[in-house]
Amino acid sequence: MGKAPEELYEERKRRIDEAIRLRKPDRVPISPGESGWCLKYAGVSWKEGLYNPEKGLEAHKKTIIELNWDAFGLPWGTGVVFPARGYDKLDVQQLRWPGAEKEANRIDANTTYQFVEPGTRGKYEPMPAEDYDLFLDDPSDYLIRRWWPRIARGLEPLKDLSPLHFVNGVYGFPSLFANPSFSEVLKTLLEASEEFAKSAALLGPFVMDMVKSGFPPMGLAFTSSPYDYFADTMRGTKGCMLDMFRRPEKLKEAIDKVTPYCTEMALTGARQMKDLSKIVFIPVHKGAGGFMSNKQYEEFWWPSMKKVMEDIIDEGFIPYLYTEGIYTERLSIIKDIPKGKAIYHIETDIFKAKEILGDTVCLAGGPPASLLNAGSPQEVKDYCKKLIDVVGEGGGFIMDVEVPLITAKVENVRAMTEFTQEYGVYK
Amino acid sequence: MAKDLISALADLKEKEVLAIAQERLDSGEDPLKILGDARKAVAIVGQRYQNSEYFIPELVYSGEILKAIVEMVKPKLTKDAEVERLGRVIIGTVAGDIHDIGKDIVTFMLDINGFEVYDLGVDVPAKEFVDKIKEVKAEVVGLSGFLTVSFDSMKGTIQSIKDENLRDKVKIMIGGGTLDEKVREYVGADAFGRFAGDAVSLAKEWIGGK
Repeated sequence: MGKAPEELYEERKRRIDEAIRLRKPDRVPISPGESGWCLKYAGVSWKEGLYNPEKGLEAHKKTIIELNWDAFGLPWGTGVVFPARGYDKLDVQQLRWPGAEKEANRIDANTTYQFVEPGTRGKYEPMPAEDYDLFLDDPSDYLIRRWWPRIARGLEPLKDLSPLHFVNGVYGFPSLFANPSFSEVLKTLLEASEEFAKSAALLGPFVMDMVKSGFPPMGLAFTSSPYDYFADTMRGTKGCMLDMFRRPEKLKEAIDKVTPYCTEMALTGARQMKDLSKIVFIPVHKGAGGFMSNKQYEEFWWPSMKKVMEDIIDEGFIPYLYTEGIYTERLSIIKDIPKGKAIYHIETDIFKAKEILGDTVCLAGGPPASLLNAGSPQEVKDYCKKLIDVVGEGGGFIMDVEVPLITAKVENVRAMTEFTQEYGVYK
Repeated sequence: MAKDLISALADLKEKEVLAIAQERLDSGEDPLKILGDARKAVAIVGQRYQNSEYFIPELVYSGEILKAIVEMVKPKLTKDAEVERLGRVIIGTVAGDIHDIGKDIVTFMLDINGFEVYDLGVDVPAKEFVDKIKEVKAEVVGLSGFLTVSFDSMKGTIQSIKDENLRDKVKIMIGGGTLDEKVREYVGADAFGRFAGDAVSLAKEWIGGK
């Protein structure tokens, strides 16, 4: 007789919890990053997933249940995470996606949504270096009146508002709200917020539905690294690189300013999850190998990230540092974190990571994209065997993938899943 | 004096570099000589990058300083700098992918190493690569891609090059975050590179070998 969903839920949750505590669960848990692959699996187009989030969520549910994974993450590739209809209304400049209303925001129907670097011609300009002081003086005012108008064309009129700190009493309202540009923005925001609300309303029932079906969520709360707060969007990759040379103290001051914000974002999301999940997803990008030296990493990137993760841990939650790119040379630096309290996703090199970090954090990693897209099921299984034998040794390992599945061959993902569920059993 | 500009720029001392360049320009020196020294210095930066003494931020910074020198001397230039070029390379991020950080670094490295680089940008349809190969008679094509969607797009681009009977006229290299030998085989390229410096070695090997 099959097990009841409640029992399976507890079993899966325990499997992941044990791995996080660096102990041996009953078997290696499996929860691959998919970034929209569920749509492919269920035969739903990218556009459909973004514009018809119910369909996108069905695709997720179908995939996770049929493949019997041990957890589910944010439903990437759906309008719940990227509410395309609302983004159309705001005419956002930081993304391009399939099916976008405006041609300039659109991308080929067969590809995923993608982020646009600041400074990309015809899109949006980065925050000017001279603006650091304005940001530091009053971050919210800066974001609302100077930054939002850049990243969303529909919010451009916000730049004509008077500074928000002028309004410390009722006599300030008329001058602020009588501004015609304000009513223009309100119309746009009203339309966008209705769309956002529709999409957002779907997440809670989806999570509860999955939980009822026996699957625990993992990393629905999230935050970013303080350096990436600027390098991913505001100053851009290149801008932050130049700031390390030209205005290192300003960059550090700005990083220090947003460090508590990153913690606050993590804890706000994590507390909403109640007892369903303690895991906070932290996707990080601009500190990867090559993007800076170890010296720069230790000076600009790591200290603030470490602080955010330690504060998350102190509040009883689990940071899930999702690194991308080559992290081999950073492994001994990022080892400086309390034992058995965090998950690190390592793309490259997961085997080296086991040697250096194996006694400190739970590792998540898996087969490379090349194998999953261009290899055979047997090759995938062979690779997974090596992973389970080496990285899975003694526990503390979650089977994931090097980079999200997105386009991977279905038979290869199936092979990886079934092999892990059979061979990954701890004796 | 010339040595100072080269070493100051190779060591990324921006203020010093610009002061020396300004001084040399004011003393009536041929702006082309100043530019020539600046390029030599950036080539040293490229070497240090390949030796892992420098990383991408240093490359980007040296590029910015070079740009400032070009701006400074431009009004005094009477003719364009004639730089001897080793060969022609077309580069671009394939259709369906808009990532360009890696591609831009490779373009920069090829450029400072003496190649004429035609950068077609991002999300480049196969036809644009084909047309450009015909137009400039390039010897090397570099296809860039970050997402896994680029695998099939590269395959299609190379097929288009074959369909136009151009495949034996160009060497094709691929590069980007998730690529490896397996993907090279899958898409039918001649080589893949993990690091920006690999593109330089490959281009030198191929073009130098002719």
